[in-house]
Amino acid sequence: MKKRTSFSIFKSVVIALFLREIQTRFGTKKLGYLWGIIDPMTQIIMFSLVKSALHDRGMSGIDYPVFLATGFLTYNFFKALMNGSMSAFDANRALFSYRQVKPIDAIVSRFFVEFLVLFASITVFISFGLFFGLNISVKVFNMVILAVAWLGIFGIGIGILFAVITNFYETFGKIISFISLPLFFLSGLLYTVDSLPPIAREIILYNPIVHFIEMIHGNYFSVLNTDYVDYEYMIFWTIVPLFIGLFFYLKAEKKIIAS
Amino acid sequence: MIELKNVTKYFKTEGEKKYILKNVTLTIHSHVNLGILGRNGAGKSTLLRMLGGIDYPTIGTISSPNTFSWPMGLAGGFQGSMTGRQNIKFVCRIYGQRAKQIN
Repeated sequence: MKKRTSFSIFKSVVIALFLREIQTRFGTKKLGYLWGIIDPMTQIIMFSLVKSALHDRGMSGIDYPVFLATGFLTYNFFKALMNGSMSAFDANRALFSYRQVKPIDAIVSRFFVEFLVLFASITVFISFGLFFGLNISVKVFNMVILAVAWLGIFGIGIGILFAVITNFYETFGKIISFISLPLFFLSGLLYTVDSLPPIAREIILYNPIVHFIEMIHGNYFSVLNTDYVDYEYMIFWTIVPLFIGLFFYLKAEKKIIAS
Repeated sequence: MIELKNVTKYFKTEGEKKYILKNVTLTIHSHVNLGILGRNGAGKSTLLRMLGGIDYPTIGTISSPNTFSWPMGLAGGFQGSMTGRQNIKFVCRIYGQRAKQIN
């Protein structure tokens, strides 16, 4: 057998894990594909109903369901990346007995699965939007794409770091899932940062996810802007966890495989 | 050919170091049938796992210019959530076979 370069091995392993991931997640249960859509759909319907029940005028020039959809889809994407990475090692542990399969391949393949899920759900939501005649026009298309891709890199960085830590301290995973409960309300999904009182605004801007959501909202809707987005803060939160995560990963790779 | 250089492997149990290999240097040549004998818990499987590259020595290196299969019969390797056919396809894929060859 011909020796392959490490990159071609990495590529074939990621493809194999990707296909396996899709088969196990969606293949056996036929409803699997639907969950990626039903989940945010129910959230959007619920919060839209609450909003209209409160007789809130809402934001002028914006269809509130579209506002919710842009936030929820990207937030779910990030959350799935973070949680998926943390469970990736355990889910694929049996496959580490093949020498080619490295733990990080599991995370990378999950990253692509989540991207696929996001892409599919966006497609479905756009068709729903068109069907119900909602205003889904985008202000700056390229910046929205950049924000989503950036969020993906941020997500995988956090994911790698958390995955390595969870592998050695199981309670860490529980702490994270506990913290991420209120995160749903503190990530600027239901409101814009601009609509908050100044003190709340200052506090909430410490949350890096808010910046990503604001960047998406500001570039998607023509009536919103990206005044509160701090790009340096976002770069900091993208690079630092990614490099710390990769550093610890390299140190711990053998232990993760052997454990 | 598989080369072991100053290989030491131990597990820590209750503060005690249980050695499986202590500073072992040896070369296993190609086309040689080799049996490993040892008591229950002596570390036969661990040695095989280390030779197969899915476990690592605490100190020292194990290297080989050859390609070889993953350690068989040591449990694991098959994923319960996949069917047998899917498992086998998975193995073919990580060894870089094309879709046509797999089917």
